[in-house]
Amino acid sequence: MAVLAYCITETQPEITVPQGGVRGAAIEIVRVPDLQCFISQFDPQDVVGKAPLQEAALDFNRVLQDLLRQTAIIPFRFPTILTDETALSQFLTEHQEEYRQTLHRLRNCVQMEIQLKMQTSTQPQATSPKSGAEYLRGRQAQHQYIESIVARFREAAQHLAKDWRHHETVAGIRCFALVDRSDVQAFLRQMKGVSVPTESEPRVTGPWPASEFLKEQ
Amino acid sequence: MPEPSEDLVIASADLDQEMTLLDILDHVLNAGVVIRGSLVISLAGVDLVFLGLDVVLTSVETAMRHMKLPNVSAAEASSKGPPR
Repeated sequence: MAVLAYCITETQPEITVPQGGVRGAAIEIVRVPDLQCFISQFDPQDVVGKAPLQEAALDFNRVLQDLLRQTAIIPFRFPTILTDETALSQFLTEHQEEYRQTLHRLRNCVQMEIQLKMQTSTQPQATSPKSGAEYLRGRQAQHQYIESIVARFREAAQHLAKDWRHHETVAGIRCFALVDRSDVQAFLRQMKGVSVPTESEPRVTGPWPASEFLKEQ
Repeated sequence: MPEPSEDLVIASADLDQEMTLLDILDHVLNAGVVIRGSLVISLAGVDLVFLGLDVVLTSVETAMRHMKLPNVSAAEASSKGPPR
């Protein structure tokens, strides 16, 4: 039977398995040496035809958050569906060393996120450029402006963030801090003290699985 | 000079402040390990691979558009045209 994969964890510490998964399905564990993967048996016909995807995604997140509260996890994107447990075991075995090292590196860590919106009114050079050179200068100024805001958050987080990454999006910029789970409250207090333009609608969320830090830079 | 971030929004389960639906969907649909290739299921008559890749590769905005369709499954929504 097909399986829906939630996430991968180390086999230690012992983890309490969440009560129910997507659509109330039982959660099971597929093990390979040093790693375990949480799954649910999955009937694609049933879910594709009837269940609202949104509801299933929320169920999926609930399982991830439950497990994240207990240990570091490597989440799968939703929905990751494999033909059967054998296929999953094969995948885990192929990536066993990579995931073992990643989970060891991320042990006790969670990801916090800062989102900043860059609205037109807050951007330098908001008027239409008259030339290509002017456009490029505007882009450069905008980039520097965004980087200056990111720098304030990064500076405030420097004593708490073990790693930091950020990237621009269409809507603005997203910053990711890798934080020890015992430092989450302190991190949130630090972020609250950062001075930023209110137009940027700063928003801090987390803790999340450390998805942005699965690969070392 | 920028003002203190009195408008900073913190959504954290650690503070009993729930994250928004968009926050959650963004993370489960756009973050995490992606398995590609023959391991991913493909069932005759069910466009599941298309559904899966569609959701995985699309943006949250596009996914949200699909989710707002009442009583229409994701597969049916996908069949109306691939989001890009």
